[in-house]
Amino acid sequence: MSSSQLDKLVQAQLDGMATAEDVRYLNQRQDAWVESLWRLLDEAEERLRVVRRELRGRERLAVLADLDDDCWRIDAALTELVGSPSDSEVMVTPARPPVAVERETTAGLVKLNLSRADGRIVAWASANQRRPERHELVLERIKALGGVTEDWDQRATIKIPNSGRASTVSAPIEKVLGWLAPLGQSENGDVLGPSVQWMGYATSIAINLVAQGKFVPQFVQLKRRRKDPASDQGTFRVRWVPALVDPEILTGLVDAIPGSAMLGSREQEKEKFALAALADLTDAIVTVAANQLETPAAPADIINRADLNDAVLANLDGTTFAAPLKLGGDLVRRFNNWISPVVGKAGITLVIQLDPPDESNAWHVAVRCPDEEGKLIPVEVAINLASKFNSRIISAHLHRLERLFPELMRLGGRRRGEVFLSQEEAWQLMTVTGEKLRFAGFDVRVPALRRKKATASLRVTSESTQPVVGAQQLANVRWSAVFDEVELSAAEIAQLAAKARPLVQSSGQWVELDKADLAEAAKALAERSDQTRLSGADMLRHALGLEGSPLAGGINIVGQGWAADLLRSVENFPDHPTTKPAGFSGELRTYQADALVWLDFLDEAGLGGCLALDMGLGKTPTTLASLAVSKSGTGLVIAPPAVVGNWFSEASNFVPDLKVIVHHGANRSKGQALAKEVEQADLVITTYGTAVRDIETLAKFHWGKVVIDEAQAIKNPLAETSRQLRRLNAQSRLALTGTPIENGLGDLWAILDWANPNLLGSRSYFIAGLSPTKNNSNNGSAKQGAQDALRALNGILVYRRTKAEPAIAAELPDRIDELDQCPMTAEQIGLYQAVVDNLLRETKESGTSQRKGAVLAAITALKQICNHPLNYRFDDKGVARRSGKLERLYDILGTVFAAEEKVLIFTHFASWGETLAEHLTEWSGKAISCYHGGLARGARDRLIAEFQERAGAGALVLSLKAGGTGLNLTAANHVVLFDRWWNPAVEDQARDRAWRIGQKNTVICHRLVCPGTIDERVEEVVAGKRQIANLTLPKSSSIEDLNAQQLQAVLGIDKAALLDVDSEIVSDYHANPASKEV
Amino acid sequence: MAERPGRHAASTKDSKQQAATQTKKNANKFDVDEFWGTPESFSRLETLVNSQEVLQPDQEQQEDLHDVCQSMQRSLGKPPLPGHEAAAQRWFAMVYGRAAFLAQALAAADELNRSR
Repeated sequence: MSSSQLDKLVQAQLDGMATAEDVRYLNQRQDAWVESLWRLLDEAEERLRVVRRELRGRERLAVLADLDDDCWRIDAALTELVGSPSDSEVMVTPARPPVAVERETTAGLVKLNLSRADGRIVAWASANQRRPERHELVLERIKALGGVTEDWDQRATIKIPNSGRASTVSAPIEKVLGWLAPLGQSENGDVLGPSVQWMGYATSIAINLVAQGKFVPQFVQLKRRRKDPASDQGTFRVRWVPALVDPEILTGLVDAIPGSAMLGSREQEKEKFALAALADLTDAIVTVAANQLETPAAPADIINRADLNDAVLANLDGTTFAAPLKLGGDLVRRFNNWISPVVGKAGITLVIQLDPPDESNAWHVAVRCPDEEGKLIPVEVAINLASKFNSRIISAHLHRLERLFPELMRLGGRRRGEVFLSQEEAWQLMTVTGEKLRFAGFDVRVPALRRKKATASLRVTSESTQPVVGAQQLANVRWSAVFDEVELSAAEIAQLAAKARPLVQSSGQWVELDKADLAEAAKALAERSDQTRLSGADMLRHALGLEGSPLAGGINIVGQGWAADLLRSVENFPDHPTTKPAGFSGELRTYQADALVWLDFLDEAGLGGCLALDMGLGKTPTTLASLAVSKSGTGLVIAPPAVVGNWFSEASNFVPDLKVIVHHGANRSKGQALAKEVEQADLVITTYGTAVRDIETLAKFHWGKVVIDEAQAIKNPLAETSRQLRRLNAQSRLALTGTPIENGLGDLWAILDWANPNLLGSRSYFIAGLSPTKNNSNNGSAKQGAQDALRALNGILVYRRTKAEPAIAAELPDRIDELDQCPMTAEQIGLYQAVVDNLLRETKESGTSQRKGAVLAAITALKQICNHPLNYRFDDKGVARRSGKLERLYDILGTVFAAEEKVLIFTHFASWGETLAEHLTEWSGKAISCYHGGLARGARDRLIAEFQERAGAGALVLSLKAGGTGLNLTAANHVVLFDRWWNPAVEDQARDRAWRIGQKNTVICHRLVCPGTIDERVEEVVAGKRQIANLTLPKSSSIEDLNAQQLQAVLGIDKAALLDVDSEIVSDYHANPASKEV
Repeated sequence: MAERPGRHAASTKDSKQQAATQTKKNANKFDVDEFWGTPESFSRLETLVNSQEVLQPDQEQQEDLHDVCQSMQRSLGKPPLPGHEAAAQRWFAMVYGRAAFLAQALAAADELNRSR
């Protein structure tokens, strides 16, 4: 059989027309079959080439698709016979230049690839030595990457080296711009070929060029059709092309081009290809934008130049139109001349150099140009020295520059391109004009400038010759205004204010001063011109803002003297102070260590202060650490009775080397005995009541440091406690509180004026100085004013840190347990003793079973008395001021409410819970409910929902039995266990209503106990210090066996531990907060 | 069975043709990395593209930018459309403004897509 006969047989087999015998024949001659298939493939590809080259018109695509399909069928048959293409198959893509090195290759992963042809993006999927995918799969890939498949049309196949013929789809560039841009830096490298990434990067670059206006219109003629070569009409369009493309970017783009991206492209050189791709992309972006404009209507026929001009403006969106060849060709040339200085890659870049002003305040600007060695020379010299070609380019750029910056053409410069500018013109160049010149492709070099408005402040320079002087020592001072870092005298301000644009140099940058600020500064300096001597206290008040400031930056103190030194030392606090100070047994948290540094600073400066750490942040251990390192003498801590025990136990834990005494109770030392005790002690702890009662004696000592805990106790400066405690004589005074501004700035003044008598001026002066005004940046609210005040004082007279600060929260445990000892009132003590006496009497006379019942009843009664006399038996004496626990609860609620937080209060006496809730509602002015088992289910659910959802501060009283389990009350982050239960698990369950998943804050749990009572014994059990059986508790089998002495030991009052709270109730302190100053 | 010589290679019909094909092959050896590209080839381009000034002005700056992005075109002087120069500058200004706005939107979308 001849070759041609065999080819016909093979073709019949391909077309499905071969008989079984024909196929058998071919199978017996597979080598010949393969040869024939190769011939057929060569012929089919040749036909495809011819059609692609010569056929035009509507049928072109259909014919191409048919021929392409032929190729595919032959290729598939070949693959079936001989397998997939192998390394031995080599092919050169027309767009790829020959390369010297052939690398060992392996089959790659099929990926999506992009190339460009005829203003369209062409997509195909293949890899080295892998069969390309059909167009359906290519579209799937595009869809998976967020592309819109409807934008893509099937297109003729293209040859892929080593891989065969690939189906392609293509889309107009303008349709896929948004899809292309992110592909450059896409991390889908396993599905995207580098050609896709390259196209993505090119798109990003084109987008940026357009965003900067770096493109120009070009008028182009499209290729003429062969069919009417004699026609005098041509087809034209406006094409938008990139201008002054950064050579570095272009080089990066060229170096990264993979051959696959150039597949099918007319441009064979990489740089031309890259520029053509950028041009296609730029044109696509701009024509889309231009298409959104309603351009004027195009003339029906173009007869003259005016018609052509109209047509150009009507077709800025790239629409093609016919025009006479002569007219159109002429316009093409004129447009090319017009854009020639900027089109394509940037070449020579002119430099505009603005020098800082000379002594006459004239700014010199010069245009320079790089010579062949890159050295900058005056542009006029460059024009003369350069070749004719370069000289023309430089001149063209200079003309462009002069159009945008006409000041350059002003007469009077030394040479062309050099001129002096006024301050106003220089500022324009540094800001607006300079930016325009940059966008136009010039290199603008101007002195550094700061656009941010300079902050104006007043400065007091203390010129004391005696650096170590006290707060009341007068020193000579000089006033000036400071704008950022630039200090100006009144005369300099007047000089600047007269200028149209007042510029000053600050930290190497030029900055324009605000004329209104200059006027304010001039006025402020004039008002203070007679203040030439100030005391250290005056200066400190100025620095703290207490004297007010007309300028936004406040007043700062520099120079020599007490205040300046003090403020300087604040700025030099160590960044990482030790967390294990000498004499302190334990480790401070970071913010506590910072607070300790501040306390040391106060000691050294002889100042008092307010340590305002939020509740639970550890004011007590921080203060103890300070007392341990202090060498100034015996410390005195004055605290509410509820925390005296806590101070003592924490002192024992943290500063075991200090000799600590508690000065309290009827048996406390007095007179000489007290003097001797104080002399031998490192720390004396007492209560407010005792301190006031013994003030005559205590005021005679010179204390190293006096500390008042829960300092809000002295917020009323006229109250007896406040007045008496001012009499204490101390090296330094420290106030501790979690709520330094509970009701207003007056609270803070009272505390700080106690700590630093007369330093801050009068109360009204202090409040006026720190209160928000209309001129302040805040909205003028009282709360905002309080926060601003704390911020102003923080780190100098106040050390404030809150749990809300992320750095603090990160360091805190998620739960803090605190034991609060709450001394009983005299009424509670009397009732308590009566119950114990009665029990002893009863048990003496009764039998075993009665004894047991009496003991159990007495335990309940005693616990009720510890809570409140009303919890034990009803009377009409009211609720307030009858219970030590209630007094402590007031403290806790005050702090919690001030922080806008919520608290749960647990008691296992439901009826007392109701009474307590009612009383606290009246006391606080907030609706406080009691959740107990007697409420209907719906009412209980409502209570919980309301508590959880209501914004702001709040409290809820719960019976331990009904509310101790199952509830989710994460809106609260404080828990108070008003009374104790033997089983710690029950208390834990109650606390866990708040401390559970969903809780975002640290939960602080307060356990209230009356020292020296059954409460304390329960605490010992809960703490694991005693066994229940040893205490003869309700479940004990030996309860009836206890004799009177044992009963007294278990249930009776421990007089040594007893603290009487009656005298501690400060009359104004626990008044109804709802009626207080706001 | 004859080994498949490659669909796009020259036919292996006769030795002369084979020799000619071999000569052509040697002259045009195929570099796989050159054609398909490698991810590493983008490292410099990525740095350059990322260091480009991203223009995403806020509302207040938009007007200034609209003006500034006309600078390139204005520096060229009057458009070569005699008698229509003023109209041309007006229309060009509108195209530049709209194109800059579109480009900023595309850049913002690109940024958004990349940050995902």
